[in-house]
Amino acid sequence: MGSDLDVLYRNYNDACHGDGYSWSQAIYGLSDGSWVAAVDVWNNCNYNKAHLGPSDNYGYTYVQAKCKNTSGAYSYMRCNTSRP
Amino acid sequence: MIRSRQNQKMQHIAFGATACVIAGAIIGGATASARDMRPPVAALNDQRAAPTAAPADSQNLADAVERWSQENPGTGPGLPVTSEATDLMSGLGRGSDTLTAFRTDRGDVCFHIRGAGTCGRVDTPTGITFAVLSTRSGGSRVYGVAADQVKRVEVRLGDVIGDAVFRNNGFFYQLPEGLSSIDISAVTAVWRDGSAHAFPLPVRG
Repeated sequence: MGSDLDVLYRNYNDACHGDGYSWSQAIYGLSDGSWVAAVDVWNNCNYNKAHLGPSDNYGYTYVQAKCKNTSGAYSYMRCNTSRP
Repeated sequence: MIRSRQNQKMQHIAFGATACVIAGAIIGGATASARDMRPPVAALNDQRAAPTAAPADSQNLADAVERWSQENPGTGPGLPVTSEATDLMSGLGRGSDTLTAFRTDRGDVCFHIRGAGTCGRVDTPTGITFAVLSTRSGGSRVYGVAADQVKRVEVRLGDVIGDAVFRNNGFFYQLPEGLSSIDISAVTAVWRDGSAHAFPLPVRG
C-alpha cells in the first residue's frame, strides 16, 4: 500500500497509480483535519489522473491537498499538488 | 480499457514507423496531433451543441490534461479540445451540478463537475468512464460519460441498485446521504442490445 501524502495547496490536486489501473482519491482538507472535497477515479498515471479543480470552487481559498490510495492491490501512487 | 490503450499505442507506433520510412524523420509529436480521433459519443460530435456555460472549469481540467500529455507523450490523453466543451446535463442532485465534457485529439473523453474530474475512454468493454465527487454540501455523486451504445447506467450499493440520470451521453447518480465512494460495489452499463457490462471496480483496502 502507498501512504497518504500531505502537501500544501497550490491550485490543483492530481492523483493516480503508477503501477497500473487502480482506485485513487484526490482530497482537499482543512488544517483541523476536516475535509472539503474529494474525487475518486480509476486510472493509471500514464493515461489520466484524478483531478480536483480550484479549491475556491468549494468555498475555500487555502486548503491542504492530499491523495489516498484506496486500493489493496497496487502500491505506487503519485500525488501531484506542488506546482504553482 | 488497458487492451484498448495498448492497441492505440501499437497503432501510434506503427503509424510513426511508417511515417519515418517515408519522410526520413522522426515526427512523434506531430503524429499525435495529426490524428484527430473522435470518441463514439454523439453529444460531443454534435456541431449544434451549445458551448459550456462555465469555460473556466473546463480550462482548469484541460490545463491538467495538457500536463498529463506532456508527462506521457506516447500514452497520455492527448490535447484537449476545449472549444467543443459542452454541458451534458445541469441542475443535478443536491449540488445542482452541471456535468461538462470535452474530447481530446486522441479520442479520450474528459468530464468534470466544477473542474473536478478526469479523462477516460469509452471504446472499451463497458463503454463508460466515470468518477465520484464528494463535497460537504453536495454529498457524493457518481458521474461520467457513456458511449452511444449504452442505454442506461446502474449503480449498485450493496443490495440496492439505482438507475443513474442518463442524458446526452452523460450520467449522474446522487448517493444517499451518509454514503460515499467506498459504498459503491458496482457501476454497470446496460447497452442498447440488453447486455450488461460491469465496470471492474478494484478491491479496496
